[in-house]
Amino acid sequence: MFSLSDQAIDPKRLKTQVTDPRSGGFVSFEGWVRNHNDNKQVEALHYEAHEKLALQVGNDIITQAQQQFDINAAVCCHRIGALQVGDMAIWVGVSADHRQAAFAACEFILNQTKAQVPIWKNEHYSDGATGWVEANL
Amino acid sequence: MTIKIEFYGRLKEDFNASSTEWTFQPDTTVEALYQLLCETHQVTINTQVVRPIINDTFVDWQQHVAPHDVVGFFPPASGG
Repeated sequence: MFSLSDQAIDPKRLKTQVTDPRSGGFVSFEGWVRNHNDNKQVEALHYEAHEKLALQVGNDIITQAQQQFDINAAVCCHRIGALQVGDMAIWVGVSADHRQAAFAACEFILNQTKAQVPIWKNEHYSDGATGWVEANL
Repeated sequence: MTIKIEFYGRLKEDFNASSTEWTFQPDTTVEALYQLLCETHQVTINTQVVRPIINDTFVDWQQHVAPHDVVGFFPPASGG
């Protein structure tokens, strides 16, 4: 399941959605807002999304991961709205019988989300300027 | 005939608008509409990096627009 959230991501709650008695391994990734990018000091950022299509594309990615990898469950949640340095921007969690599939599927979901899901990042810098970020794949 | 046009992400700044009403000619494709918008706003953006939608659905650049459509343009995603 893919979701968007305008509130702080709760990884403990999300982890319960991928817990599965068939699984012998669980892999998760947390993406955080860092305080620098491209030699600029980042103070905060804002994520904008086309929510309907973001959910559609994001759930298609989860379905693709379930078809391509031998996994039991996968979840991805992406923040939208205003975030501060240190806030969690994205959480991906995958459980599988074995670790290899969980690692691979987690990376696949993350990479495809960054490349395909209609979400855009606008950074706010310490000098007061703002800038839309190009895809960092 | 009019349509509503929406810009997302950095395209809002490139076209200096988040949304606008637009009067168009019959048999206009999304690509022709976008090129006209680029000319009007003096914006140069390759259509290979922009993705069009109509009424919240991804479409091909050769799709024709219809009266009262909501046409949107997505820049490359930059989430994560």
